[in-house]
Amino acid sequence: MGTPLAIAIRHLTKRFKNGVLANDAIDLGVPCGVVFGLLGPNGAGKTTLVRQITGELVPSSGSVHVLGIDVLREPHRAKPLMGILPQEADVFMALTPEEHLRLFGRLRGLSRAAAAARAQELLGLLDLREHRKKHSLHLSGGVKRKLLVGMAIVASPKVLVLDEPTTGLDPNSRRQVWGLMRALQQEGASILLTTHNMEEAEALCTSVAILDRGRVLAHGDIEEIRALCSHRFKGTYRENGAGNAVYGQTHAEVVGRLESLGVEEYTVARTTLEDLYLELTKKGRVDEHG
Amino acid sequence: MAKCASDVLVIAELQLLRTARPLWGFLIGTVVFPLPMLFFARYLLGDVGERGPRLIAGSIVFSVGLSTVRELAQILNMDRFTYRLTLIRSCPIHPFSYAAGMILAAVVHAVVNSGVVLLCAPLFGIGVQLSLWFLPVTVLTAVSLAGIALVIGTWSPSWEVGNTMAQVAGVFIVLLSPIYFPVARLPDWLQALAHLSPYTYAANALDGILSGHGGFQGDAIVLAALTVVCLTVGLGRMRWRET
Repeated sequence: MGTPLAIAIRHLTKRFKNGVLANDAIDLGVPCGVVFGLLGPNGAGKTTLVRQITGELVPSSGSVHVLGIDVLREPHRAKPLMGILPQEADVFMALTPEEHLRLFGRLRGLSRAAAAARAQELLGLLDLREHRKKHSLHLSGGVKRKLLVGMAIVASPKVLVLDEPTTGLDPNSRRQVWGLMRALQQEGASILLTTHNMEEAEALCTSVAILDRGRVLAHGDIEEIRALCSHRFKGTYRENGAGNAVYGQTHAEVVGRLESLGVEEYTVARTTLEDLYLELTKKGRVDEHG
Repeated sequence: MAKCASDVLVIAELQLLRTARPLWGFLIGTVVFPLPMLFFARYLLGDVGERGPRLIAGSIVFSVGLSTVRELAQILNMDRFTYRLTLIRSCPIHPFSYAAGMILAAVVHAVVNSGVVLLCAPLFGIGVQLSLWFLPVTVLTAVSLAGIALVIGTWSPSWEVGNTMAQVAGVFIVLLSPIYFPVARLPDWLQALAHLSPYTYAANALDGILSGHGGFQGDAIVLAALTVVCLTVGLGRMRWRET
């Protein structure tokens, strides 16, 4: 018996009416109890994939199961298990953060008293207390985004699907949200998030998948993924005000190349997820264009 | 079932909080929009005589038309195209619960607006007779007109088209409907159109109640039938998932 899957995606394809193939026969599994990152450039098909996982978009073919429940056939059973933060979602301008959390807590299945208590708790955890009585019209974009995260997690769901949850957040707020996500994971939640922020992916994710042009280029544990990079080490330096990099298999190889270039100030480190991401997505474009 | 009922109440609460803020704007909207038309019709006629209750009925229908058809259609339309409906759809809520909650909020507004118009009737020297049927027929009027809003809100292909349709259905059509006078006064070609409008039957039914003449049951039944049609079309077109 394999690892139980929180989200099981089987041969999922989405072709829109205008002919665009947004997702091409995607097979992915998000194990239970992990934070799974879905990475990819703009237009890769991440949000289309997420919208099919949450049941907002009907796939052309294939299936999605959340904790064993078919999202397409039984959305009324699948939705209560999920906390969802869509990429494009907006708060209600006339409502306060407290009202948002309380009302959406009830929509997500909490009782009146539990929703009110949880709203107060989240206002504290998300550092929103000073804004709790303000109409959302007067909130900054970052504060609204934190509020949307709070609305997704208000009912402490078993599966959390977050589409770019920390976009627009300052570093402190981002770390607050990361802390909440780690806490939820430790309580047993499974989290799928999409992000452009490699630091976020490396900080939070146990496993990742890299998507481009509707296809999965690589997926697996983050250490396995890093090892796919052609080069193990990277040296970075600045020349004429611009950042540059050289790559190699060993620390010594990279240092040798830097010194042959006459570079005196440099940093050598292991290649990161971002390096693999750039390598894979650039390769995909080169292969396509010849 | 309990979750459905709770969802309806939550959506209604959310909608009422949105539309009642700021409170001064809500109060002005509740008072300002229906009363000038009543003022105009009342003093244009001079001696209203037995036509007084018709003016009140017409003002109520006009007010309910504004708050339900125009306002509700605009909000449904706006929520679809500004990703607020996306937020609601991300919750485990049935689309019918969402529609019912929005309609419930519209009904509450309509009852408040109707109450304001009724309270102002004596100020315009108009006497009306109240009966227990007034509230259910007002509610039926609001639900039937909310059904029109539902059709607009779920069918409009874009924000701009939806807003235009809301203005046409909520203002333009009501002004062309015989809400302040009987259908027979219209030219024949407009009478045919008037017989298709819920506004006509709503005004006739409320006039029958407020004048004490009765005979409103037929209009109420037609209004109920139009309500079923509008709600069926609106709910049937409502898609919670995109293809």
